[in-house]
Amino acid sequence: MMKIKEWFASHKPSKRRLIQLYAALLFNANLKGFGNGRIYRGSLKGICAPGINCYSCPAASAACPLGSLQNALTAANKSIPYYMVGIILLYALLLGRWICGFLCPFGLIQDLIYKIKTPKIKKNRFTKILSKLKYVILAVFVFALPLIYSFREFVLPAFCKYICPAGTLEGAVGLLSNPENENMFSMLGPLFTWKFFLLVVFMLGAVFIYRFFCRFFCPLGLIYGLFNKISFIGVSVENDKCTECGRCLSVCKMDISKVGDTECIQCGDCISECPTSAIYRRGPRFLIDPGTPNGKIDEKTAKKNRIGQRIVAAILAVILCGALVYYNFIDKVPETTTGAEVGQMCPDDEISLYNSDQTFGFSVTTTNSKVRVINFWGTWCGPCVAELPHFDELASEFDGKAVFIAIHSSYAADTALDFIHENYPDSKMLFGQNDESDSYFYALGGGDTWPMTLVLDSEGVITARFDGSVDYETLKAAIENALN
Amino acid sequence: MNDKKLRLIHTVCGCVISAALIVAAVCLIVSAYTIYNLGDSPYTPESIGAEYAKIAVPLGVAIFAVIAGIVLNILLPMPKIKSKSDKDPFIKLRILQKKLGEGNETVKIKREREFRKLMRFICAILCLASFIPAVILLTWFDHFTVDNLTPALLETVQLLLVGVVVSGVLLFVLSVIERKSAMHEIEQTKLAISSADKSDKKPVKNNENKVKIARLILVGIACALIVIGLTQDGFYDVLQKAIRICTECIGLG
Repeated sequence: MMKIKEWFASHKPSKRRLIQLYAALLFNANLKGFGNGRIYRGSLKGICAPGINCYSCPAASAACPLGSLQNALTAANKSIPYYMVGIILLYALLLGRWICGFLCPFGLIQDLIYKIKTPKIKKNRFTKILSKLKYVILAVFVFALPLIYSFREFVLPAFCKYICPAGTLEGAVGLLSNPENENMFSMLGPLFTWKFFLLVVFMLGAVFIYRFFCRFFCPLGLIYGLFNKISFIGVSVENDKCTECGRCLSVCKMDISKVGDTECIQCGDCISECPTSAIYRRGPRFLIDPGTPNGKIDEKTAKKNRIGQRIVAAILAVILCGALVYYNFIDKVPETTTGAEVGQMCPDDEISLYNSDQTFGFSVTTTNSKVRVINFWGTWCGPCVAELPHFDELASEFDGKAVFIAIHSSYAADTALDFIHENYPDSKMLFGQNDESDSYFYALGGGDTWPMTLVLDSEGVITARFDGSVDYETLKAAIENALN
Repeated sequence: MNDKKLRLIHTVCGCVISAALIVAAVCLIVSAYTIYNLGDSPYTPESIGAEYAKIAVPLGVAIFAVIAGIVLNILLPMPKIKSKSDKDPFIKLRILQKKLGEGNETVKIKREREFRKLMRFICAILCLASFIPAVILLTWFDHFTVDNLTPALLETVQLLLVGVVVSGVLLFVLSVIERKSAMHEIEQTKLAISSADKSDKKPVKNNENKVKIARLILVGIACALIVIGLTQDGFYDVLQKAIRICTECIGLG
């Protein structure tokens, strides 16, 4: 019992760990999402969290800056992404890679995994060379591919889609682990296999190598790192005091060449190790650890800082409690109806058609008892755009037997008309427009997942439903089934 | 129990946990690949659960090993190891180089540095060459039509993996050579320091004001960008994307 007490006494969480836990909880305050398997859809989701935190995680209360940046770049052919560039630049200038060390939830996950007691691979020349891989990933997956494909009218957030382990762990696994999202299993294919493989590799790597993902793969950390030397909060060295003993470099687990460079996550482990107290934290005084042995803080100032820190801690605690209450109890986003399951009658509605003053009614009388295929899509959604050619082909194949209507989301609705004119000028499909709140999508039981496709038989009964993409063969079989 | 025995216990325990975790990870990857290869679409929690039930033993062992490691650490804490700051020759070399000062290097030291530069250059050329097939495929945009983008990229990954493995081996060899060269240079530098006069420390330029000005200008630019972005519905765009799940973006397919 004494040993357990001793162990807990020597392993009590550091301030850094407490801040990491605090940030992880604040950026994932929508805890009810784990219960109902739905993501938060309130207006605060437009705010970007500073660290990597997938916005498709059921608990995520804010957007991921890297995902949002890529999304903005995928629309670069239409508008310059001022907002996202500004936000990331501001975070980088204020906090630098302090975000990686203290605020990033995925960094916390890796820190905790690294605690598993196994032999560790320490930094060496090899890891230092590998740390340059981030530059390639930033250039190719975050900037080049989204930009190139944006000019080809195709949405490709390449880093999220092909690499990001946070998206797989928090988003995909987070959603799949809820029984409410059982239908999502039908979407799994080669892409998920690849991302699951990467996730396992990253997690296993984090057991043996400190911050495996951050050091070699994270492009967001690289962007922040570029501003490390000029950020408001950071770690600096007093050159007059430094004796070049190299102790800081040997203590640091990251691949730094000197304290405070692009690789430094500003964890501050080197501060207490410096024999001449040459390393210090720069930033607002109340945030500087009063115990920092930088020789600059006397007892009186340290006391003042301690009081300042306590006030800040109290304010932060209030903010966290407020966020938990707000996200889980106050901010009620309208629940979707679940009355559009397979075998049930499809609710009727009228949809305005693009490039026409006409509307389209879904009732049996309007469609002359034909089979109807309703697809919800958006130009902003890669899978939606990718599956549209199948719909177009099948609309020609089943012309006269089935009616195809593709209903665009209210979001980015102004981009749809140009897209349709350019890509489907003579299509047999009808292109409809959702109202401002996507009410028909939600009335048909649409969750948070795009695209969504429903097949109705001649009597208006739903015979098939696909949440997510559907391939040509599966859709064709569903239509033939509805026709019979 | 003495420190030596404790360290041995912890090393053995660490190796067992590592082995268990690696086996569990390999099992997870093989299972995921098997599920995909079965082509038993649409997948259900039951079909996936059945596949994972087959690897329940290694997964259970891995979890047990991790928990056992924690318990062991509580009962028999690992003695603290003294810092090994002198172990990395490159840190040591950097410190010695600063002590020696620029311009005081001997011919042997210069030769070591040039040798390392040459090795790095050769290694970089070979590494780049190993990626040429993948780069050709990547830049061959006809492969990347919207329809078969994912399979095309997965094919490219196979070629990339060849490059990664070749580069990994080359970099490992380079790191061994560089380490030996650095050790040699350390000896030479020590000799040079002992024979050369110590040069005075150059005064360090105070760039603090410049940094402050640059910081403020950049913060101003960032704020201006945010304001321009807000007037162009930037916040709305982020919100609209964040409240919708793009299944491909999170790897669901």
